[in-house]
Amino acid sequence: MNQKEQLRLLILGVLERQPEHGYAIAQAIKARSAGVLNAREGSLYPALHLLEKEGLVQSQEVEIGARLRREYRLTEAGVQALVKARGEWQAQVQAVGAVIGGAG
Amino acid sequence: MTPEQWLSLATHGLVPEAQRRVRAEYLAHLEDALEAGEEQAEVVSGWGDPVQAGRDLRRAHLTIQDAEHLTPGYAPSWKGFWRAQAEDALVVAVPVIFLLRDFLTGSAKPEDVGLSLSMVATLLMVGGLRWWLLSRVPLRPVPRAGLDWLLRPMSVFMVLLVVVLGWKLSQNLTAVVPLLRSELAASPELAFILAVLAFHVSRLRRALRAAQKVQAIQAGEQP
Repeated sequence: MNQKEQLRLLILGVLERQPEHGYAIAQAIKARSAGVLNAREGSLYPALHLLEKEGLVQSQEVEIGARLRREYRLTEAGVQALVKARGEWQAQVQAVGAVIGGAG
Repeated sequence: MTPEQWLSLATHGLVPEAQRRVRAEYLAHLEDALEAGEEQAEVVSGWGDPVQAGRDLRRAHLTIQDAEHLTPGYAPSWKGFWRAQAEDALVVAVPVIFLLRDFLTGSAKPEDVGLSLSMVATLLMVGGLRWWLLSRVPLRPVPRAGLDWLLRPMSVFMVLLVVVLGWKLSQNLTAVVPLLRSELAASPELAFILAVLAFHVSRLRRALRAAQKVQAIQAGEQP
């Protein structure tokens, strides 16, 4: 899984909980990974827009505290893609762990 | 680099509507980040390479180049009908010019006259059908782009060519390739026609790609 695919998985993972706008997605990735992962916004928005183009997320402009923000939510296809990507990621982690050892 | 400079590079080549959307999202992000206590320079640096971001954004959004290949459609009126016919005027003029030349030189044969007139009638019908379908029938962008391409004189010509080649193939499979080779050697015009047809096919690919983007954008954006 390359960096772009990882970012897509992270975005889908964040949106699984609730619809969010771009800045909140970036903050959620940073917070949930305890600062280890940092979605560079330069690639975050193109990734979001490509996910939207593929029908995995939908967006809508909403007013948040008198400000207009574009909020993204997972579609049914997005949920399925997340399940699939999560499985692939776990298989990859297990495979790397089996090679490098140290996992007990 | 200022946010404006970054955005100007990243949104280069996008249609104005997509530019507005991208700019609004990045500027909203900047606003939220500044409110959270981040520095502007730090935020813009976090945006990364604008050229790379622009490349990715052009994959997701409609570009100015894509927009040139979209089907604008026609008005459901006589004005729209004549506009569709005018688009094909150059192609319709060819058999008419040949017909006139043959009449003026006195070399017009009844079968050639019949062929030219049926070509003109077919082209007029194709233009009319294109006008009717694109102005009256509600279609999604992809089938719309496909129909617009298919109902162009060049496409009709291609279909005829394929039918003739198919017929030749059914007659004698092995004879077609040497026939094409000899025809190409004998008439350089045929090579030109084939090049024009290849260009026409490439237009379909670009039109479908642009229409797919529009369809995806329409499906992704909730009302």
